Amino acid sequence: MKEENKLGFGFKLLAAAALAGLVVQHVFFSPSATAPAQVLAGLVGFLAVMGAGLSARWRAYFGSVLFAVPAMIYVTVFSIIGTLVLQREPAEVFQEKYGRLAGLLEALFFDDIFHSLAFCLILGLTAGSMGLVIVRKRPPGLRVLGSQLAHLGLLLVLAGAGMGQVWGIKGRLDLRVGQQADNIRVQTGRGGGFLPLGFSVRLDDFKIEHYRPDFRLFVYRLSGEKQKKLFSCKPAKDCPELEKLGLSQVGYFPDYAQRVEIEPAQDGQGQGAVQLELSGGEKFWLVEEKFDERVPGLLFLPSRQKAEEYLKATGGEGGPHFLEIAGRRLAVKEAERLELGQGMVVQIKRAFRDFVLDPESKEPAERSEQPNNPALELLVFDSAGKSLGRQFLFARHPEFHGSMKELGEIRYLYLPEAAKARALIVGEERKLWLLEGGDKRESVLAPGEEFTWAGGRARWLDSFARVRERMVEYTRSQEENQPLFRLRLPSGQTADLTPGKPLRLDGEKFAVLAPRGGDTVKDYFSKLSVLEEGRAVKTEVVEVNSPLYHRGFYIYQANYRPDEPDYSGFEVVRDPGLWVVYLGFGLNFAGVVCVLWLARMKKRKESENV
Amino acid sequence: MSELSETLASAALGIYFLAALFYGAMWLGNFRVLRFSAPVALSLGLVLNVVQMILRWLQHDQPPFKTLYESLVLLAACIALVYLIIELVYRARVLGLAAALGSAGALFYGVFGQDTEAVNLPPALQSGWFIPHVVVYFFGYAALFVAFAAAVLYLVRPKPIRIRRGDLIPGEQVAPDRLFDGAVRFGFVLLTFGLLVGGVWAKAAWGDYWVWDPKETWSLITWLLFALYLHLHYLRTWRGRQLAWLVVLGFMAVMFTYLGMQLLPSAEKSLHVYQ
Repeated sequence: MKEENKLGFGFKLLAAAALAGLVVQHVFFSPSATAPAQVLAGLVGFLAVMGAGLSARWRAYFGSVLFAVPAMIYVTVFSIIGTLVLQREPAEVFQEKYGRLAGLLEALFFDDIFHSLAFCLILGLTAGSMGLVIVRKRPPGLRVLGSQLAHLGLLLVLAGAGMGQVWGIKGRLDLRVGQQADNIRVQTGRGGGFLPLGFSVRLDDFKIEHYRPDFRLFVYRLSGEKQKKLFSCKPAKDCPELEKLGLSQVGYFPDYAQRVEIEPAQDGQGQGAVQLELSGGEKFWLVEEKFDERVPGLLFLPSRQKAEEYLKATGGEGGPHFLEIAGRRLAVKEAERLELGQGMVVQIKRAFRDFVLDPESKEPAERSEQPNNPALELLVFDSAGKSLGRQFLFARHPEFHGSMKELGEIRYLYLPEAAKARALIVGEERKLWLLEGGDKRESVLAPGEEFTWAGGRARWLDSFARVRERMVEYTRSQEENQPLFRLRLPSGQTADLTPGKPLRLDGEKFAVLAPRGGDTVKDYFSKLSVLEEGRAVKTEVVEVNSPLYHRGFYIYQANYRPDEPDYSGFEVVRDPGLWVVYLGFGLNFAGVVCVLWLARMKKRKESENV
Repeated sequence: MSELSETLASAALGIYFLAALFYGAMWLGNFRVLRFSAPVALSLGLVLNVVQMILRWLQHDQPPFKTLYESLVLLAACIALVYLIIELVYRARVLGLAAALGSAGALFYGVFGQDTEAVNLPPALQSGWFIPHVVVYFFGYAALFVAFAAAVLYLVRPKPIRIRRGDLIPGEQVAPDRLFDGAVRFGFVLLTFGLLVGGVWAKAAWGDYWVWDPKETWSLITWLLFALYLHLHYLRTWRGRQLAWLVVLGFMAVMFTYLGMQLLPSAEKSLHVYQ
């Protein structure tokens, strides 16, 4: 038979095999073939070719290039189809994407082509061909050895993959810090279930490491739905491109903050305050009815009446929950409502000592009595009283403001030490009231003299005065934790750029302050303990590229959730065919090097010697 | 340092174009000065190219292989280096023009068409496998580019090119089909290594050595096309022109694998698509 005829025969044979696989899958395994069925199809193909190879004539054919070429073309075509058609998507997604064509594609099993019986049968026939290449008798030599190794390697890869498909396990494990589990959620075909591990895994700790932020001002042009970067520049450095757009830099705060500065009010307006000095020499104003962390437990009230009203209302207590809003710290309680400005109102719905999201109900709950993860649940309303939803603030994770940008810069502080007012300065009487166990001891407060209370010691410097609070902008440090970039626009107005809030410059251009390099997450780590019979037998840190291995299972760090700082997700895999696959990789590569490099080098040397 | 890095890239681009001019002039006449200036220019471009990559590595403290811009810079260097090796081994400069244009083209597309901003390496890429996987693959791509150039040359001019005195090594004949065959054999080994190492790395990172990700699948398709080339050598009816066309098709698959993934419907879920 001519070469072309033999090639044509191979194409027809493989087409028949693909059709057979399609029919069998429709009859017995629709809509998807199980893993054992896939492997069986491959095995049938392999054994069919090996069996045919018992005849010398068929062995010569199936073990030759004349069959290998159509087989490789079929595998290539199936692979191309598998990239052009969405794979393993839910039916509604598939229907939406392909419309009327969806039915045909599903009937041909193109929506999961790599797990179709047709593809597995083709692979099996190809594997059979490779098997015959290996056993075919040929004169020994480097090229023949290499060819056998390369084909044997591929055969082992397919065999190992088949073993993994039939006997392997793959599942998901979702844990929160402190939680343990002894089973994994597995996905089988289009279904799922739970599988016991035979041991327990506990998440002891989870950390995310961030790249040091390096913020840049990026200017983009919008063109339809696409955006093209025009330029970027480092804030506070020369940027001629900005000037060409009529913009100028006013200032850059790498770690923007506002603080309230207090200064005496010249016009007699303002709030009452007392000027104090600490032992380190720091002077400051203690404003009426406001705690200051520099003098914990000390409160100033202008009059005896106000002092007694305060004691009656609070029992001498304040905190431990505080909200810091635009530099002002306010003690808050459950059920309390606060006006934030521009008519926005927040209500403190609930305070948590140890916040956790219940894995079953997904509702917030208390994990323990210990203040391990203090949190506040806020209800937010707009100026019309319409609810904008709820927001959680975490004392230990101030960076997680969630998605409610209307709240602005708001921070939750849990300060149990501020829970009680330990002493009151009563302004008009110039007296210090020391509060201990429900009792009150009064003493005269002499100017310039040091006084002590349970929270510390200080010196009263000045008389009681009226002060005004002034918001002052400053940068806490040179670390770019909360950057703010102030620009002057062509109109003369200034605009503040903060990360994630783009500024439209003109029609198509906009500017955004963002960290160079995209995602700032550098790495994330989980500290896992493996428990057998309640006892920890192994504790390791798991990260991407570094799984934990125990009793045949590999536990891979898979994902995390930015809004849930104590959550960590894992893939758990057991693959008995893995080492067969790796052996196959090695043999295949060795064979390819032998045939293509070593044999050729040897041949060239021999021809040079001749 | 950022400005120096970009200046070096532009300088390398200019020198590659100069090298292309020199190699191109060799086809027109016997210019003795070109015998050395062409490979020297290409080598100088390569040196600047490599220094640029080293500087960028030092500046950003990570291997410069993550973004499309960085990969194009790497590709330009690989093409130049692979060609210079081929020039040494085969003692022929017939592909010099194509190689210089290839390096220049890759660098041009990178410098003028891409965002040069560096991107932080995500956790999955912080692995010892990152460098060998990417570098070997790009050397493979470079070798297959040279094969493609030789195949096109063969299709245009199938007969062996007689070397004229002075411009190439005198007294030899260069058969383009021998050139593309050699380049395919060299590149295929590198593709195989890259593919297998990718599988081992995927297992360590994600728990699966093969997930039929579009990029993985097209890497396999590319590998299969060149495996097909190697097998078709054994057929009497497949010689010369047919094989050359297959090399052209294979290189188109290489380019699609490298640059075309975002065209695929499943691309957005792929971990390999350049952002």
